Amino acid sequence: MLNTDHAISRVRRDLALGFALKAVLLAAGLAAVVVVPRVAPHVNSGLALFGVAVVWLVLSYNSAKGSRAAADVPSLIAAGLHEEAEEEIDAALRRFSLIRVVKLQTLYQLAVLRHAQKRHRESAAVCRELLRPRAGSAGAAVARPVRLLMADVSLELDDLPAVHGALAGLYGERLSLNEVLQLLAAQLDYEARIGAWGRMTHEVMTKVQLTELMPAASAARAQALLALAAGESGRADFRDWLRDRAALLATPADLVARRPILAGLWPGTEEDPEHAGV
Amino acid sequence: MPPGFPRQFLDVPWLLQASEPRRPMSKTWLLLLGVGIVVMFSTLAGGQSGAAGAVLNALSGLAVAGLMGGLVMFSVATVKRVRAEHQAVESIGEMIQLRRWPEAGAELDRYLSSPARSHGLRAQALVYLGAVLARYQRFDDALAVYDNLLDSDMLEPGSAYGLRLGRAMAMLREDHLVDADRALGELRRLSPSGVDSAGLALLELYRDVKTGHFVEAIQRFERSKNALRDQLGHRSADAWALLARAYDALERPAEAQQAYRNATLLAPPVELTRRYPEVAKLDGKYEPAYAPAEAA
Repeated sequence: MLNTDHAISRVRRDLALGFALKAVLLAAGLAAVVVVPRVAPHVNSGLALFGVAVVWLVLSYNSAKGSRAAADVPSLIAAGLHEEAEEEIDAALRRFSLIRVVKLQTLYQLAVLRHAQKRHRESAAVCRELLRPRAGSAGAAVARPVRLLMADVSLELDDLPAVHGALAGLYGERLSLNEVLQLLAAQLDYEARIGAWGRMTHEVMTKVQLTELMPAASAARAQALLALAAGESGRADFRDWLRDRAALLATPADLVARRPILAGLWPGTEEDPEHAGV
Repeated sequence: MPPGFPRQFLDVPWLLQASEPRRPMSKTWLLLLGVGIVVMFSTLAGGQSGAAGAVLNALSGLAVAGLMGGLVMFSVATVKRVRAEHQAVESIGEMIQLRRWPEAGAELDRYLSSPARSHGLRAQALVYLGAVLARYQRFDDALAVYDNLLDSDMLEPGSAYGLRLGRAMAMLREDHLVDADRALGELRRLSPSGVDSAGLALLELYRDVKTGHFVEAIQRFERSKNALRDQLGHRSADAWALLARAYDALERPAEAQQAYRNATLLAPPVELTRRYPEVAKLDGKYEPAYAPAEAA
């Protein structure tokens, strides 16, 4: 089984190694043009530079090929095949890659896997590692999905300052539609915990329309949280409408089990787990 | 089609032809030419001594540097173009999710009017084209796109299964019942054992309602109720609406009312009628669940 701390240190080491190798190749290229004609005029500088270029190209090609190694991981996680996903991640992490973003993306897949396995503390540790400031654009390339995952994981750990930190980093970003949906789900969950009912019901129909694009379980939870906020804001009509919709998308007992704050929407849910509001 | 000739919006045969990726001009020859120049300079430099040798040595170094610079610039430009095309197709997908059909159609018309950069992106755009055509109720055109995609074997099994579901639905909407029945049989064979496919259940439910097998439709719904809810989310409104139609046909108004209320809780009546004309009979007969007004 893949040890999370081990995986983090392996990625750190590989990133440092990749950085050093790039520096060496760059220095060798410069030396071929500047130093070789002076120190060893009998050596052809063009061919020396060509040799360096070939090494760089071969390593880059292998790294790019290696980026496909963990390509099946998302579908394996989605299908619940966690062991197979872990094996693929382990194999991908063992491969050397000159491309930093490939390593970071594989580590991100590990965070997603740990989240799916409900090993939230390990997932949070990986997210923190990925969000560490780094030189270059590699870190920025994975920052948005990592922040969204960090928000989700921190909600599971009930670490509200970490949720706030992760969400705050996303507000100025240009997000894809799927990222907007994930952000909305995390934001509603967070606001419900701090009792920001007014903020939750602000432009409520826009939020409801967005929740309709989510997968069933997320849509149900988001609408149940909005129902709670509507009730707290004195909008009983909205509360009932949203609660009944949520009950058509998920079993209320499941919703309450995952988020006990929702128990008020379905009094007596625990006694009647089959109650579906239909 | 001659250039400048006005063509129909989302002209399927034209778009299928125009979007075919062109065989890219081989850059290998350029690279080999560059290598040849380097080798030529290096050979000449090796045979010379003194100032001429040094000049040739420097020139061969410059040639390699130029070759590498050119290669990097070419790679960066290629990556940028592929990324832009990928973003264009992704944004079409988002427009469809947001139900911005006219914009999605216009973007697809523009994107598919010129050769695509990769077969994968073209296949994705064609999947979206099929969805837009089905939305505009151009089911025969949608079937042409689906058949083209399935014949080309460009999709991975999961996507191909989803496409086959859309194709069977288009057949049902066009009353090609024999073809639809064959397509359903094919889907049943392709479904992974032990997994209840909500898409397939919805198709069978619609087929039963369309052919007047209302009791079977109700039984089908009850068997797949959880899968329909978990896999279709808000689109499970379709199943509730068809269930309401089945109860209505069997003159069981109380159950029809409850199912219709559930359907309209998840989707407005006008949308359900648009998707399934058979449901129009329920409009006015049963009370829908309206969304409350936003302002109190």
